[in-house]
Amino acid sequence: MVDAGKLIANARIAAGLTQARLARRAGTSQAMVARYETGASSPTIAALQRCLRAAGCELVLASQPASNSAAGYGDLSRSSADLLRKNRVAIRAAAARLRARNVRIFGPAVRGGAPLNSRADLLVSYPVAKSGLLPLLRLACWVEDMTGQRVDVLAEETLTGQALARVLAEAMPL
Amino acid sequence: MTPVEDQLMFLSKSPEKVRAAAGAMLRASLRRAPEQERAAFLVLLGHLEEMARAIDQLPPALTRHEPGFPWRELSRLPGLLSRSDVRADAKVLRRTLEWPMHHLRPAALRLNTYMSFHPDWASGEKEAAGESEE
Repeated sequence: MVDAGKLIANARIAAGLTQARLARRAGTSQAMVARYETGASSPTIAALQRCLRAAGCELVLASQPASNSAAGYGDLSRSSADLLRKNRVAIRAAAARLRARNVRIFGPAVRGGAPLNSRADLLVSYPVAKSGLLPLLRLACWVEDMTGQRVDVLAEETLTGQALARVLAEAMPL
Repeated sequence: MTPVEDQLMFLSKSPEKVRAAAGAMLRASLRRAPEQERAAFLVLLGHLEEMARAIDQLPPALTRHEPGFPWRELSRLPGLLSRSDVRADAKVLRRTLEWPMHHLRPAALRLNTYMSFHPDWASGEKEAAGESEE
């Protein structure tokens, strides 16, 4: 995939413009153009189009079906459980850093029928009585940032007695 | 006072209310008074929800200046506690809230001070946000 920053830099250099000049024409700042070109920020399509037009170029976009799931777009048709499983090594490692272990998935995501991006539930073994709930919430934020998948992370100790039996029965290793 | 300053002021006063409700819940739990414990939990949950709403209204560009404080985690806490399958344990909640409630007021006041000394704190970020939210 072509890097947006490189597109801007190539167009700007080809047009003989400085970053400041391009920025003025595109209605942004030199600092922002520099951030785009170095990859520190990703421009939106509209911002990319403005920068390219400022350099006398036109942005042309096209889409095509991915040839297979390994192309990186296959996740659009996958379930949230698959998405999490695909990242299980990283998720387990992140959990281990927080001293949580035995990462499992439960809830609608394993029962089937849960659309992608519906919330998924992860279960871990973690001493919440000793360490509180913040590390579980931190892990949930981390998993969401990495996968884009909404998750809650719970520990056995956080579940009500009634829920615990059900959750343990359906939980599957990640 | 700007809306952000309002939220920071609100947050700097929140720990007292949260601690009081968590303490009432713990005392009820130790007395084995489940109804009182449940009532105290609902009061606590209300405070946590108000706090989460205030946090959600703070621009990430600002909270980034206090990276050691668990803004996102606190914002998510009431959602987790509202789940029907989650057991609200008084000791776990006290343990969970101990550190953030000790540090919330200083963190909110530091952000307020930062805004006072950097009136243009949001200008660079606004531009970035403008670019990315189109």
